[in-house]
Amino acid sequence: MNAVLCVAGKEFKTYFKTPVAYVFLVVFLALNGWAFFFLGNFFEQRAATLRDMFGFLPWSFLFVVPAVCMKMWAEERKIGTFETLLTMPLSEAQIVLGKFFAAFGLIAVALALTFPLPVIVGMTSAASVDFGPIVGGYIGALFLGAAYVAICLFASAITESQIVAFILGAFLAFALALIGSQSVAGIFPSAIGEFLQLLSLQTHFMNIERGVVDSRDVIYYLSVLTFFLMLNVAAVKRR
Amino acid sequence: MTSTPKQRRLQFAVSIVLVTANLFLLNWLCLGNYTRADLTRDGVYTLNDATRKLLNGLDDLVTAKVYLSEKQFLENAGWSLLPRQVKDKIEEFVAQSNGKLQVEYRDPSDDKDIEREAQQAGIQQIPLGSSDSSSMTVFQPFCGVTLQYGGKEEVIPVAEPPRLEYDLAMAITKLTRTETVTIGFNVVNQLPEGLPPEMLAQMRDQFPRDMHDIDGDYRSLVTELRRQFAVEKVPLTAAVPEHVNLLVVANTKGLNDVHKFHLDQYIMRGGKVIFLTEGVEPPQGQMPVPTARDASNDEFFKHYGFGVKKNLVFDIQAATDRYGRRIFYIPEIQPRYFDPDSALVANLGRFVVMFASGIELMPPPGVEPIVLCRTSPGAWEQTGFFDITLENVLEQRKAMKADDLKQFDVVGMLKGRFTSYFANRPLPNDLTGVSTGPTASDLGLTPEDLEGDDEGDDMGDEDGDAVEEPADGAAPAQPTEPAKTDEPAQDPAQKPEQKPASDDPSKKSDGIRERDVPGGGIADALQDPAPAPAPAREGATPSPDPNAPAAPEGSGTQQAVFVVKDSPETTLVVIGSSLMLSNNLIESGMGNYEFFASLVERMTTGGELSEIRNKLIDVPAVRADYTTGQKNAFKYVGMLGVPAIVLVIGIMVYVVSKAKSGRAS
Repeated sequence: MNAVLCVAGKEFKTYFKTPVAYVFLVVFLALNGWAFFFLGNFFEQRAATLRDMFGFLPWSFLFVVPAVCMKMWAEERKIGTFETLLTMPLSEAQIVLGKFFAAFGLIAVALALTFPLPVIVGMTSAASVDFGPIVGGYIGALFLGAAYVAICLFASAITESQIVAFILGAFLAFALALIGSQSVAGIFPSAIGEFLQLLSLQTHFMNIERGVVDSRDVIYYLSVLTFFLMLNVAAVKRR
Repeated sequence: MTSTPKQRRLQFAVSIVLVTANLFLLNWLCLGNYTRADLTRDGVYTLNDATRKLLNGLDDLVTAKVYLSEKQFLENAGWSLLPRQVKDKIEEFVAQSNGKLQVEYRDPSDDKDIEREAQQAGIQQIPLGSSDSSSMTVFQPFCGVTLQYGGKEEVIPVAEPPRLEYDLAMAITKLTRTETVTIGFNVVNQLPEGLPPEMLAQMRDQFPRDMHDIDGDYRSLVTELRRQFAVEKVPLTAAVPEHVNLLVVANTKGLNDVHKFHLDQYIMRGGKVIFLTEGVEPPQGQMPVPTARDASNDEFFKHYGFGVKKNLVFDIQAATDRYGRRIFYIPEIQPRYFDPDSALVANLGRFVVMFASGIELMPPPGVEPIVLCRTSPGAWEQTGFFDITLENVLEQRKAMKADDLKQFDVVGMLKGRFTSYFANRPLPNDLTGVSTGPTASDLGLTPEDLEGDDEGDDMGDEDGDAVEEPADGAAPAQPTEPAKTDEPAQDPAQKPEQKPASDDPSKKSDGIRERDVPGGGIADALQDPAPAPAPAREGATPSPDPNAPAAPEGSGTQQAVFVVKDSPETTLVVIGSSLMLSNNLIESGMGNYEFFASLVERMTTGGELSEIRNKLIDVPAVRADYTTGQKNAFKYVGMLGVPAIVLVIGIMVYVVSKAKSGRAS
């Protein structure tokens, strides 16, 4: 575990030594603020809730998480540190987990920096705000972010090009989010449509973001994490 | 031994396949075994136990189409949260159904085909108003649900978020219900069968209040009810059939002891009853003014815990005639005067009563009284002499002091275990040969069982509760508890010689023996070709009760009547106006049918669903007193404040690191 934390710490610090983390944070926070105040029409709808921000997360993550993860493996390969990394006394799984936790840490920081929004909701509400759904929304956002990171990390591991890693990661995440939507699942017979909804990142996120933590959703997200991190380890080993 | 790279890759590929399969299996297993933590303050997303049980018990796919004009709601101030409230509740149903409920959302906002489809499905457009600081607009969105199951369809024309759980659960219950629900209407004084139509019509005109008939003065109600239920006449001259789930007693005039006996025994078997009765005779024929009704039923009603006052209730909140004049003797009962905690009437609409009397609830022990509906506080009463002419009523109203005006209870409910009206009374004489349920042999009772002594009763426990259910399905209409019976048995051959040992009607003859009969499905007739003399029971005289029913002469068989003395848990509803079911008021569109049908539905279908309480997934509003400047300040600080700080820190870090690297180089 120490080895995992060691890798994670190093990677996390690397983010902040370059403009990547700052650009990511600025873009993510501005996007969320815009979605909350303007897309969700906070003051016009007059509903003291963060649901609009959480509802937008699957789409904002779609742009920013691949950007955070695309360099994780692709850059190692491009600058030739990949082999060096593999010669260190660490297993492939430890390196993968270390990189995963580093990227997930950055997502967690980004989510934490959205704190002004719940504060504004509390300040502007005419009655006491129910913070249960807000807590649920953040829990769901962490699960969703972790799943996106695992997917994009895998995409980065199978290509040397950061651009390809970005596009591939975004596409995989987009596909997994979209398959549960009615416009896609509705095309298929009900059994297949239902199965697709069970596979969807967004279907499971919708439950948690309104304040209901369901063991099925938690297990789904943990399964997605396990699956893509395993594929990631396999991709690293193959190289 | 070391494996080759190819072998390692193969092993890893196999392990990935195995782990993936295990993940699928884990997720699949978890679909049926899960827990949910509702983090909301009031648990607004937690469905009622009854709803969860219903959804978990679905054995086939229920498909729902939700016609929701989401775009229209979002575009109109004050309504933007409604689609989310509806969707959240429906999604909870989906989550609990383990895939047995599939939902399709259809937005008719910009699609005429979907709009037409919604209208054809019976979804109503709801006229709603929306106002902002400058204008007021009216829009007509759709917000309704259709549910289909096994070729059947249920429609919720207007899906209101607070009551959506109840409406959806009720609709699913109706769809998945396999047994027919039967509503019985008592037809005491029914019109004779086989009369020519002209004569029937003439009799109805002559005695509109006395000659009740489900094809006559309840025609409109019954026609509508038959869309959902089986409706049948219950003359009360014989036992109420076992399959009657609810009995509507809208005609209490002329109830004799035999009628009362069968009514009583229906209640004792767990049957649910709606009584509609007033304390005054509505005007009819030669009698143009109401008159006080006789007291012949008062004791009977009082026994179950209710009474109907001999008054006529007037209300300032009343129906109006075509000229807009209030008809004060037709009070309009408004939802704000309903008991908000009772699922029986919660969220039902207004209705009117006519020539109504106030009801009183005086529950016996073990019975819970609940006043369901009241008049407005601006109601008053007439007693003794009744005058309904408008001028006189207005005069009376003007002369009223504030203290004379008050609310009158018009609908009440009694819920609990009742004792038989005939427990301590002689039975009607002419019950001979009647049957109120399965025979003793149906229940597996032998003559020896029926002769059993009090202490040796092997079918009930000491407090009289039966210990086993009938195996032959001889359950009563709504049996949930066993019932205790009396079992009057008598030897007709002895009857002429024997006299009552006591004048006290509470004392039973030797033929009336207490006995526990399982399951509440109680036989009251027993044919025994070779009856043994019934042994005396403690406290009872050795002779049969002369008031007990006699067997037909010369039959050579013993006729016995079981009397169920205690009821299982059941519900009686009392409404102080029988005319609320009349054709005129049912057809008037004043909500009487909707109220009554919902009451019937709630009493008969899914008793557990009555526990569902309305929950609104509510979100507090943002204060409206912010100026545009303040709003903009919140917006831009909220949106750009933290990113700006992060940007500044990023630039500082970049500058410092550049400076460091410059110094190093």
